[in-house]
Amino acid sequence: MMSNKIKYYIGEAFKSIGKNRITSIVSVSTAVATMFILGLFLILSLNVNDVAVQVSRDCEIQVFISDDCDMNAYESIGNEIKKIQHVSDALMYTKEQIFEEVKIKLGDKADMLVGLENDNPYRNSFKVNLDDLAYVNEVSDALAKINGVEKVSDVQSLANTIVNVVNAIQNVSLWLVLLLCIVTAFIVSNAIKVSVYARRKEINIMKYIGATDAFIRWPFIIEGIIIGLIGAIISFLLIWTLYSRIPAQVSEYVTFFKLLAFENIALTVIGTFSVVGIVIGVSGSIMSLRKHLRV
Amino acid sequence: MVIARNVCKTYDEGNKVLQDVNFIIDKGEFVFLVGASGAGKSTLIKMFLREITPTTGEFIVNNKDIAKIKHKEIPFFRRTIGVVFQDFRLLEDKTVKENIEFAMIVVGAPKSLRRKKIPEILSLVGLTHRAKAYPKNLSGGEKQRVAIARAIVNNPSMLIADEPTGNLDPETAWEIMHLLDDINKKGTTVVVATHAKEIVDTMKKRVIAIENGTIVRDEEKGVYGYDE
Ligand SMILES: Nc1ncnc2c1ncn2[C@@H]1O[C@H](COP(=O)(O)OP(=O)(O)OP(=O)(O)O)[C@@H](O)[C@H]1O
Ligand SMILES: [Mg+2]
Repeated sequence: MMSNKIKYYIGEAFKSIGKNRITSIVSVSTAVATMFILGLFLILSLNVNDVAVQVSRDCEIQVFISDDCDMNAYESIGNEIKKIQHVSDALMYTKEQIFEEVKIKLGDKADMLVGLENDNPYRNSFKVNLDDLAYVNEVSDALAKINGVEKVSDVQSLANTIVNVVNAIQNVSLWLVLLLCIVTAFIVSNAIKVSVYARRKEINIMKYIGATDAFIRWPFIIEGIIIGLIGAIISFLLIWTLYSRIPAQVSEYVTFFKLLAFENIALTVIGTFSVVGIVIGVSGSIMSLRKHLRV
Repeated sequence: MVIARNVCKTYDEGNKVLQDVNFIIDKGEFVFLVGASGAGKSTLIKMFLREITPTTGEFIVNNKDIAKIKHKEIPFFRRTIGVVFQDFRLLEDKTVKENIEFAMIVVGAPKSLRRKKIPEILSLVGLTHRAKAYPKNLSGGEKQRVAIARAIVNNPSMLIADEPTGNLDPETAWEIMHLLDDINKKGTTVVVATHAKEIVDTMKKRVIAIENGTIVRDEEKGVYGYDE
């Protein structure tokens, strides 16, 4: 019995879309435009986020320990560092290791260091990794406050820039997309209004026959959902086509990072589009039904 | 059973459309509602369907005071009452069979029941051979038969008709009235608002006459009583 009704609702919804072709096309196109822009921001945001993750992974803060600390104090500072929030790891990097590495780097000119073996100019240190680049300031401050820490290397400016870019993109896109979604919902609601008007005679008959409010309303809500989903599918195909052409062109010029492969983001994109499409469609039709279909 | 007790209806603009209307219609009765244009017949019909409620007084249908029916219950209340109008109100993009089936889909009747019931109803109203026709290809009488079929397919206890023959020629009007009479004889209460003087005078049914919103006459085996 239930599936009977659902079949009826979906059938009626498609009939409405077919009958009121112009308003349907207008609202599908608006939905496509909105989701296309949403898609651009989404892809940008996913890629920048990916870069941020890579940078977080590579980026480490180096913490230099005062020579006054003995080996025990050095080790216990390491434990303190690991307790700081958002520190994922703190590796000991002794002054002997630093000395050896510098020697290797200098290569031919290593004789510059002769005689310094017993008077190592470097300091014992830690290489500190973060789990989230956004907290680089807080972590740096906490590190500097630890007793025995002489100096904290400065990676904040790069990290801050990246974090700011990610935040800015996400903020701008969130508000813009929200605005576009509202506009689209209004346009969908107009399409539903037209459908309600086209079916007013039928609705009247249904009321006399004893149709429930839900029975009268569902086809219109499904109509909204169908409009939203068609918009989602079309904009997904557009984004896909566009995106699969970009990487080759961009990677010629931009070498410091790689764009994500489309198959890695396809699910996120189609998932987001479907959810947004359904939300737009449902809210559009509910807006319209509350105003134009008092049952 | 329908009980109207001191029913008054005043619209927002203040015009009193019904004034102190009283009657009882028993289960299985056949009642004509007559009166000049603007007397209040359609207003009364709307009360049977709970489209409007009395301003004062009580209107009780099947033991339910219509003023006290909750909004959510209205559809279920309406399923107990079939209705036909002068203008048929068929869905133009559906065939005869589909128009009737639509009423069953609306109330959630399963396919098996629809398969069984629709041929029965089609044969009752004499439209078996027109099942696949669209309303635009039907005569007025045929359209009204479809509307009647749709109204009774869910077995309502009562059938309400507002000028069902208003758009039909006298001969077809008679056929429709006979059909309503047949349906009444099978146990359904029938209430017909009409201007069809000759039919009312001939059929010798109960007649309730309204003038200016008041019942002026209520008689068994009555007559139309006005010159048309
Ligand atoms: N929604 C409304 N608001 C205000 N007045 C109304 C409304 N509906 C009907 N009326 C008035 O109520 C009176 C009775 O109308 P009604 O339709 O019941 O008459 P009727 O007996 O059915 O007439 P007819 O034979 O022409 O169909 C009329 O004067 C009409 O103008
Ligand atoms: Mg009338």
